[in-house]
Amino acid sequence: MKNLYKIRAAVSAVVFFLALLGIAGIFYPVKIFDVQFAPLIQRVFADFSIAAITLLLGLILITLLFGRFYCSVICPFGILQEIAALIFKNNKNKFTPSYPVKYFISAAVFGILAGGSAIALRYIEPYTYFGSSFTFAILGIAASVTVLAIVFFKNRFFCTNICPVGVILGLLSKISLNKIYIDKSNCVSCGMCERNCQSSCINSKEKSIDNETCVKCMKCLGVCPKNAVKYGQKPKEDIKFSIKRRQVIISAAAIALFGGMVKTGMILKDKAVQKIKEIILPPGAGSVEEFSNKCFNCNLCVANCPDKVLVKADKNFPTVHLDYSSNHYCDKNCNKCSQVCPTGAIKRLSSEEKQKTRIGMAMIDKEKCSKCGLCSFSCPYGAITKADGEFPVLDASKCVGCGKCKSQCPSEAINVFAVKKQTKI
Amino acid sequence: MKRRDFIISSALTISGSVLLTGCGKKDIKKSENQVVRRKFADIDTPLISLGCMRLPMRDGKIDMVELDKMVEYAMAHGANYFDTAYMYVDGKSENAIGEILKKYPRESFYLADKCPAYLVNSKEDSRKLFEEQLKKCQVKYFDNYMVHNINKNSLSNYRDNDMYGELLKLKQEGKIKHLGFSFHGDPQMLREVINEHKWDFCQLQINYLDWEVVNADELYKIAEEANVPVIVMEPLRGGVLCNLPEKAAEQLQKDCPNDTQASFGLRWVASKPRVFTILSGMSNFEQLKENVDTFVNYKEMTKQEVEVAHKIASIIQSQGAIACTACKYCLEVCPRGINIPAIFGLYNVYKGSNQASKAFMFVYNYNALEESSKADKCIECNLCNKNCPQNLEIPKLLKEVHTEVKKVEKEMG
Repeated sequence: MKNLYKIRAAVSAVVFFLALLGIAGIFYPVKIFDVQFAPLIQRVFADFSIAAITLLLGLILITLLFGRFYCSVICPFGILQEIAALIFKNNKNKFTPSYPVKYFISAAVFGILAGGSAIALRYIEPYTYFGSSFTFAILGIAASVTVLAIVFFKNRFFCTNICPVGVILGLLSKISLNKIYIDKSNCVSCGMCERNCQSSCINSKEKSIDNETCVKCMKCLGVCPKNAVKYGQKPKEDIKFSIKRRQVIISAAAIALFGGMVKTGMILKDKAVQKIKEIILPPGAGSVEEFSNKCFNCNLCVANCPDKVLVKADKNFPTVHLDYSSNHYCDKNCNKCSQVCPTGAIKRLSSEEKQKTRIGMAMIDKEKCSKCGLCSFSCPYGAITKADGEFPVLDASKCVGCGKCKSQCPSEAINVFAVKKQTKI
Repeated sequence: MKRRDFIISSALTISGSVLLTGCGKKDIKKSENQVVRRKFADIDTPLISLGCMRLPMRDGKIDMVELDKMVEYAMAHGANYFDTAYMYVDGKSENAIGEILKKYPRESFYLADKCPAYLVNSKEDSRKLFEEQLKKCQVKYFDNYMVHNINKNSLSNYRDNDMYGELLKLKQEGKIKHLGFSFHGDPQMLREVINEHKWDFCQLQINYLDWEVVNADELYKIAEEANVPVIVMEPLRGGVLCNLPEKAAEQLQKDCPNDTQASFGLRWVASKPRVFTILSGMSNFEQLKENVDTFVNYKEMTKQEVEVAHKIASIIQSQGAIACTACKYCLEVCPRGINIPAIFGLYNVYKGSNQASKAFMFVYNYNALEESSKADKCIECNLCNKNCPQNLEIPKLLKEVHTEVKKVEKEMG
């Protein structure tokens, strides 16, 4: 049992390392971010694919079997907090969780998600914090610094008291098959486990552990001098699933209220987005409205875009988008962004489907054109033809708006315009 | 359970369920008032039919309750011909009408569908699309089947991929009863297409406006010479002839007080003897009832009334309206999402109005359109032109409308 902590820590370290490489766009064959809980829920809402549903059910099943492992093994932001806590070496980690508040937060953000908008999750979800801070987006860094400051004072207060994903996993963990418990006959109430607990869920006087907030870091198993902290099926005790009725009602009401308000467009109908239409989105994103409501801004696609045409959210647009301004273009044979997106905001497209998805439309300005013909050579879709001495002619039915012609044009005569909705050609 | 009990009970269950599904078909409550019918060879159809391009909508979806009511009324009065197509209502028209018609016995209605020529890029595509359509409509065969929208852009698709040959095979297999084509082109092309093969019928755009000011009269004559019966589409020109400009409406009111604008237009089309059915896209129960009633109490057009149609057509023409029928085919291809039919519609109302406030209303309504769907967002990719059955040069017209808006705005200050 003592080794469980070491094994768990080793796995977490590997996962964190892979996550770092992935978010840096260096090495991302193991799709760790595909099993991030909140993006996965969004993906199920977005494409309802069998893969996504299987993964989500898998996560739920693992949590039901083994408890809230997710927070210390799969969630890179959780691991980051643990690393930070190791560095800070703090023992000032006592706090009492406030259930109604976190239930309400979780109900509200997932209600908004169910209503069709991921905007709320974008600002409170640990995976987004991780992604956006390691791709050096200002908002992400600010959020991460805040949370790490919380770690300094209250250790994993964020995970146990704020994180909306943690709430769901915690509730599942409450009825999970395997739990951490204290063997009362061996325990001498020395308090080692309580002092070392990250999420402040152990009461060594009463010899009880709150499995809802416990993130299964297994540290208590490692430090107990009497081997009294155990992991497994808790013997001889009824499984109590005691949530107060008031909390259930308030949470359900919050889900319905926020979901309804988003659905009917009372809140979060992003007025800014309504006006900005001249934005080109990655293939598979659909329309501006759809995408801006689904994207988490984790910037994983930005990091993995080999052509550097995908850019982070900026003053032009609240989520990631394409930027053709500095001669970057979207390569015909690349569909990486759609393959890595964990939220389903960029639909998974095969290379072929991607080549048939129109994301924009090029237009040749005859007043600026010098008839050099570079565009017609460069167009990978054969959409531009040019006869000697004539202006190049664009066959709009073949153009997908990849922007290559624009990047090649020496006289800036080509503009790529946004499409209202991405369509198949 | 004993074996005998098991056999008996399962036999009972099976027979019961068979009986129940048999009873599931809806009885047609035949009304005494039947619409007039026309007969050509083995085609026997009501003179008025429900076209399924402008189905009743509610909250962006087809209003199935209303449609059900409409079909029930039409069937009761003998208007049992329904015309749909692959691309109508974003591809949802076929599912909707199929869902409703499956309540009726298959022999009790005629269903017409069309193969979208612009989607046929290989020989196999015709059959593939056809099978898909059968499935969507939940039927085993189509009474009438057409090559959809032969025009200058789709002609090559139709010819190169031997659509006629492919569809003829389907006809020989019994999955198509009558084979025809719908046509949006010039008379010269119609002459070629209609004489190329043996067609059971053709579908043309005929109404008194097109007859007087465009070329419907020539098209009709060609069909007559080729001895091919005609189905008429756009009998009211996409609603233009039942939303007449004020001057024209007053004229009609004065000369034919017993007619509504719609019934006048439809009766005019029915006066052409080669027409065996008139397809009218009806968007609510009232429209359907009005149209069906027109043909229950059908009165032939008189010479004087034909004269009135002539007068009205010239009034409409003098207003300088855009010949858009709001079929929305352009919306399917416009990458910029410009609301072309709405813009043209506003322009036409503005041109056809006598009121002093018309300029104000025009600019007001135009500015109420979503910013991204206005005329100046056009980038002249010309994709719409290829899809326009009326052969309008849409980007050019959009530019005109936009200049007009700017001009009016300036005048108003």
